[in-house]
Amino acid sequence: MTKQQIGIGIESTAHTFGVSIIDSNGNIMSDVKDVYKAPKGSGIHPREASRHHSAIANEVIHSALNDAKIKYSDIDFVAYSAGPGIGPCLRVGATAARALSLKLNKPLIPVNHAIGHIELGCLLTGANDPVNLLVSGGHTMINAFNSGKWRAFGETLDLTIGQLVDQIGRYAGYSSPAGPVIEGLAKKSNNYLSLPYSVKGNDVSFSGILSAAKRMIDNGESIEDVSFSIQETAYSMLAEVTERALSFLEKDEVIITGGVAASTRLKEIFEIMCKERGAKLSVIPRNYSGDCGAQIAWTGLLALNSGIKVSVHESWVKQSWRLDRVEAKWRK
Amino acid sequence: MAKIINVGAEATIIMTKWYGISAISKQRKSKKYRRKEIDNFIRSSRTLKEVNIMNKIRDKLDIPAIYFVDPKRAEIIMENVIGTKVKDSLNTQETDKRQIGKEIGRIVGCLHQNNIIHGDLTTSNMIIRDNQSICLIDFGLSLTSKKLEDKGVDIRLFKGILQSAHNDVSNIVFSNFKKGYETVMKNQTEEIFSIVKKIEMRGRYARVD
Repeated sequence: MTKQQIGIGIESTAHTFGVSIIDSNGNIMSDVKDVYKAPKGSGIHPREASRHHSAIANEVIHSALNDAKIKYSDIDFVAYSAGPGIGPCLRVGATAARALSLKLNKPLIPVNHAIGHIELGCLLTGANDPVNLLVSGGHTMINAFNSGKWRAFGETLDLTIGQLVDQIGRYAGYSSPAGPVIEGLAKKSNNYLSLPYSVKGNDVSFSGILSAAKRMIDNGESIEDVSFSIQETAYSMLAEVTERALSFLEKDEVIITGGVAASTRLKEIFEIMCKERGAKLSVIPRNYSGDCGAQIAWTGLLALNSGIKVSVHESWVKQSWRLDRVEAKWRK
Repeated sequence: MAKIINVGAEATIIMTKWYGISAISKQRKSKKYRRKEIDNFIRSSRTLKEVNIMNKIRDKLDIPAIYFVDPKRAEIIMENVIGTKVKDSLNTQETDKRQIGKEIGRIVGCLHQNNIIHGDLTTSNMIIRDNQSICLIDFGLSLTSKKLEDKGVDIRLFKGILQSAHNDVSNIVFSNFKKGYETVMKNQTEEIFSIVKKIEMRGRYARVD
């Protein structure tokens, strides 16, 4: 066994700039974040978000070290989110990570952000060989580990679930990310309005729901009823395709990861689905479901221990980097 | 005597008898996780669609015989197809992956020529009988469409399952799938397969760097 290692993980794929310190037992020693807020009714502006990240990067890194009660010299490796995500935002995190790696002369590790969500979920819940549902603003995908990679067994053909609720929220005049607002509104209704239910094999399509829901708002239906109906329809679709993957793969363990894992209604629906099948459900804890440094730090540690690192002059970011292309060498 | 043989995501399959013949009962059970409105609609519409589309293609392909339909209970009683799932067959050494790929290609080509989209072309929905004929099952998500896009989505799903669940043989099976497809769809094949590529590229973060 090698000596205890301490690592720093830097997350900056989208609206969140997050930094976490972790040790090699998987103890999260600190996890600090600062989130870019878009103006009401609009989404993430790439340039503005990256400016936000640049402005607060130093401060967030310092707080993460302070909270963990460590010094720069205690850091053994530096992990950064290398994609997928928004180019200008990714570059801020990568630049900070390169600087730390050079200054401290410690290994630099590129981490796939989406894999980070899954691996952190497995660490925190003890999920072993689950079917994973990754639901966020950037992803809606069902995965299971098979011959070296987190393979995709279903995904959205157009919008992600996060985009769907966010776009409806923005259309109705709320701030992004609008997921929690939509969930709050949905709780006030029990009046189901029919929306397109589109499951194509193992995949889902949400664009029809978005168009129909916008039309409903235009026609004066209450935002509470529309929010409620969107959640019931979209979450049922997700439960169905996840159950398809469970059935096909003959597995009996499910984990929900990503920002939308914080939804209580999604969890309720999945609890019923899993109970009926006799499957075990894990949901990543709410404070780690959204983008955070911990997902990068932990996955960076797994990657480093299986020999993955990159020199500063060869380091990169990729806006498009599918999680099912990543060799998860640390998994057997 | 009624024995549950599979609890799928969509339906429960129960071994039964139909006038003395061994048969299966496919029952779309109510799912408690979804609202009654959604649940009733899905169960009855998929049951009817499944039967209607199977009847359209019955004289052209090997599919299970249907004995009885009860749309209210969302139940279909049909032939108990005996054989090995392609899913299991692809994972064993001795089978001829080329032949299996080519035959599936021919079958899917035949569906598409008749403007039928299967909607769920996973390897667990194809059963190789003792006489080597491949029987296609589970038309619950099928639809009729002339659109090349829909045919492309159908093929992409099959390709995705090969890559995810049968990665070691996916290239050999898929290249032979195309050959088999071409024997039926002729010069439309290239156009449809280029649409499959486009659909893949449309996937999140799929752009090749």
